[in-house]
Amino acid sequence: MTHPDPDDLVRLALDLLSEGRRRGLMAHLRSCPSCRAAYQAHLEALGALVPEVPVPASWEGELRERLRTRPLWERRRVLALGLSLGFVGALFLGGLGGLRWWAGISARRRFFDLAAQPGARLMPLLDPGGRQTGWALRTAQGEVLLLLKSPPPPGRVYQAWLILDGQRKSLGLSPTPLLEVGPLPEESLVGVSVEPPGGSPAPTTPSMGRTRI
Amino acid sequence: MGEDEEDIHLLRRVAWRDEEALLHLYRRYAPRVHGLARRILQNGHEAKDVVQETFLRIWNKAERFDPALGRPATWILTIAHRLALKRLRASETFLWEEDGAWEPLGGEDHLERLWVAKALEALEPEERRLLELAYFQGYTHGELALLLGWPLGTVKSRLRRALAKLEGKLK
Repeated sequence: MTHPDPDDLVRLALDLLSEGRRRGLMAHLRSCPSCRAAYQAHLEALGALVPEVPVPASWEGELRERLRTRPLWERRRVLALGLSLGFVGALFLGGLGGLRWWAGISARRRFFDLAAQPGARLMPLLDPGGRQTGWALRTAQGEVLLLLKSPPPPGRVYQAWLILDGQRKSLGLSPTPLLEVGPLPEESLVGVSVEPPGGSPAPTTPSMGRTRI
Repeated sequence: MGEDEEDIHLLRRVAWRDEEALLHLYRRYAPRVHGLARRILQNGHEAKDVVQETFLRIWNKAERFDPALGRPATWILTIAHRLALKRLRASETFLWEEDGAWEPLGGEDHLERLWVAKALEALEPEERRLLELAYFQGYTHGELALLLGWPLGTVKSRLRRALAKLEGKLK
């Protein structure tokens, strides 16, 4: 195993690296106990420099207010609505079949380009009947992407879910067969359902596929 | 249950939108997040924003926490550090600060500085200055070399040595 420059681990702890380099190093740390230990020791040492300064009591109430103003899935709904409107507009201009075909091809190309990179790991997405409906990919940088074999039905989107302790949390929506859900801890259980364009706070259709990755 | 295990459990509950779990973490870590943000930004209003943003980020990203990569406490401070440095870099106060330009005795900032000075007392003055500039002001290795007039290799080795000393002190 090739280890990174120790100065880069210092830079990582000081948050002085570019996003790409940071993700690359984090991927290395996931598989290298010695570098991970060095990085954690740096973080602990820097953390010891941080003083405690009391916070005014009113801040907690303000935080509570902000938590209640806009639940996450609603914000994702706004994003999804924008995507959906753009998608609908593009459908109007380009024709339904052509655009869906193009979106599917682009999604597959991006997914398999990433899957071909060193350190990437693929797992099948299986529906409740055990049929493979797509693939889950963990890149060397720890990003997780899901690709379904077919696009969502017209007027619907795919919604990705993190399944933990028997509950589901939305990881985002996509009008294409590709869902880029971002970094997740190892062995996360993920699934996909078909939902209306705004997404749903909980799955409303049977699982299109799930896997642990 | 140890504090780390309890924090991991709280983060898991936060991932499922448990407000009380987030507020529990807030009560435990907001003073440190606040201390870090004030130390970096030197501005109470901005520091407050960083505290709020840090816990909103945790609210929205708790499922991304990976215990294999560190403790919840360091993850939370890493989020706060990143948010505070981003603000610092976006502001016009991202300037070299001369020694002795600090607030008068007795102020909140003075007490924060005393804390940091205590933590840093195991270090040589030059190592102390390096860590302060790198961690609290976000200077890169290259910028530090220019600022202090040292070769880049010297900056790197002194930073590594400074961190190693602090780590030794924590053991």
